[in-house]
Amino acid sequence: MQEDKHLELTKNGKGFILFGSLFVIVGLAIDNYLLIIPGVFFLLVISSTFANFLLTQKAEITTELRISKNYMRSRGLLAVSVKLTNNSDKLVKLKATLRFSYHFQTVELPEQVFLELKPKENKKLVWILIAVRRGNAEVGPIELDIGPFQYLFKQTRIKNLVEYIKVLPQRPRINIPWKTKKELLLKMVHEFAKRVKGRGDEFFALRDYMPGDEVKHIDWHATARHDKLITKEFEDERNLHFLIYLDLGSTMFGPKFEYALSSVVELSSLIQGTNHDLAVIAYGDNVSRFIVPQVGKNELKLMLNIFDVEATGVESNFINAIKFTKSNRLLHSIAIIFSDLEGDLKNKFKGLHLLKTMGSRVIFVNFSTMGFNILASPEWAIDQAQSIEYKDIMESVFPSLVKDDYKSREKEVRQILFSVGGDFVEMRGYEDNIILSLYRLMKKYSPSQRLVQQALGR
Amino acid sequence: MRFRDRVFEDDWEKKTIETRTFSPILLAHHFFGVAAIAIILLQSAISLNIYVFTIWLILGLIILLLDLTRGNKLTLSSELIFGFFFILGTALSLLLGNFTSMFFPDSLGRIEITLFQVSAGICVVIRFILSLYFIEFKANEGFHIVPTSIYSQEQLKHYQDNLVLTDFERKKNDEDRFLKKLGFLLQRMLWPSVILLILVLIAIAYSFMIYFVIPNDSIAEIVVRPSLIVIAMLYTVLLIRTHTILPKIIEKQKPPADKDEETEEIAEMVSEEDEEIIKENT
Repeated sequence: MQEDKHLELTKNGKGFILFGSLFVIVGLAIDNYLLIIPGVFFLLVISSTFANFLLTQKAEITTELRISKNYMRSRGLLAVSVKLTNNSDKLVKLKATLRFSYHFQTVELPEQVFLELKPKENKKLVWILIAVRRGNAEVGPIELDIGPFQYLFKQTRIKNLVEYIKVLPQRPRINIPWKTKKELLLKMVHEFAKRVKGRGDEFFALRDYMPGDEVKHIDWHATARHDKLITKEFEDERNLHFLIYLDLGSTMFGPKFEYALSSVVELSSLIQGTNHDLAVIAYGDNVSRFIVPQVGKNELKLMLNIFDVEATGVESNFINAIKFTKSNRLLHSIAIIFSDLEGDLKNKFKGLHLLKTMGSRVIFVNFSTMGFNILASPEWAIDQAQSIEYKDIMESVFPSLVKDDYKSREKEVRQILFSVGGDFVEMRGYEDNIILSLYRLMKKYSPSQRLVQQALGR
Repeated sequence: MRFRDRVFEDDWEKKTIETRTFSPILLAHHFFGVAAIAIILLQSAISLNIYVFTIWLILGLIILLLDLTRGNKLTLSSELIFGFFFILGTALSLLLGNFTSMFFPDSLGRIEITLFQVSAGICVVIRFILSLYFIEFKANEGFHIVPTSIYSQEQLKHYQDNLVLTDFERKKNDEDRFLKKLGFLLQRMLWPSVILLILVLIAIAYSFMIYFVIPNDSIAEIVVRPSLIVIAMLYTVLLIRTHTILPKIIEKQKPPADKDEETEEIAEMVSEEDEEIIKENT
């Protein structure tokens, strides 16, 4: 364990000394006890701090730092215990301060605690921290300020104990019943799955018997009817191939991006429990990450993989993601794109028609900038943001956020999606949920709704 | 830290932990400041010195107003400003009131003047002690987050319940009570105060001695007082230099750390290689 000793006469301390001497000297010169007495007091106080330092400098205090877990969800709680042991024969009064990264805040106990350690005594302090941000966080080091009048003469010992912890995205607050999730998947299968013949259980079609076909599949009734051998064909198992595209471009940042990320986690953890295939492609300028959850791995592994993704800040290039998809032959899939309407729309949808040629269905999920408080990101902290109206800031940051422009953009995107047979899903702020909005989308495809649509001539 | 998630702000609130018993200390602090100036005013009134009286009246009003407008924010720099006003007042009253000494009017004797001075000085010292206490207490204030909604309260409660009987079980810190803290600080200040008292007594005795025994003591004027001034100056320089000198002294006291075996081996290897290279060259 390393220990840094920090010793400093502060500005206040220097002021104390100078004022004290000025008082004493002027007082002596003009024979005035009104000045001499406070002056001597000043000098005595500062001398007592030095004396205290000399007395306590050999007091050895050992510390142990432990945290209750190595990874956690955002908005979760973490317990940190610090054990302080006084190895010397002297009573030590100190202020213990726990330092930690900006991912945490303390609950119900301030960062610094004042305590007194008798000779050969140990004390345990337990802090409870709440994680407020996702990322690689650290807890530590611990600072021990020994003795009184720290603002005059700073005597600090920094114990370089640091524990690292991964803070994963937030757990979704809405608890969606399993029935809804199952229904959503069934509807998706019903709508999107290609009817491909194969070795399934469900009946697909009848055809003439060819040599090599299995005898047990011969339909004897049909054979009798047509007077020639006819076999049954079966449908392949209808599992879907989900491809989730996550935009890491310059327009996705802050809480909006965090929410998109947690939505990806939510959707993929839903898909992972079933027989459907799943792949996540995180793309910025290029494909920066391709995540395929392995069979048998739990949700946490998947989450740990997705969690490492960070927004790139470069303008995103969708065509590269499409090239990647094509070269890896990820065909006949359901492509769900997590992005927004900001930036250059032409670049954003450059390769979209190629997805159609690859036999994929497109669902575009728009994380609307209007719905999320974009100013929460520290990179976008504007000076005097408090005094300017929110609308004006939005306009200066994103000119396209003027409502009419936003609507025209949405219209444009809807047209593009219509040309490739895709769907548009909008996420409006934190209250919205990806699974519920997909469920809403699938309702559009229900048979009764389809009849209504046909009658209306759409 | 900027965190403006709406849901989070509904559930948790950032609060300061306020320390109680502030107002009595603050009141006493203001009182002793006023008392010190009141004593000076009384003295100048008795000695019929109109300049000194008006100067200290104005200064007293300024200090009182500053104290009242500052409210709860009491810092060390504001106390130093108070001290600066004292020096300013003394200088002004010396210039305007009485250029030999503001405290040597004809109508008052030496003993009375000394008593007035000492009592005013003690008032100032008490004021400083109180402000030091106050700042020491203020350091106990800190920020923390408090659950406000039922959801977050239950979350915290369940979490804490689950920590029982583990290494992370949280027991209430036996935080120091107000009187205990005050006791500790008084204990810290005991010896300085005793020394101060002794010095004050010596000073009073010295002035009595001048008044009764040697009314016009040339030795005191030429030798004692200048030497005291020089000592004060030297002591000041010593104090200011101490914080740079102390760490060096401590480092010198430490025994030199033993060299690691690895580094020694590497050093030997390097020296051998050097020798070989030198041999090859020659």
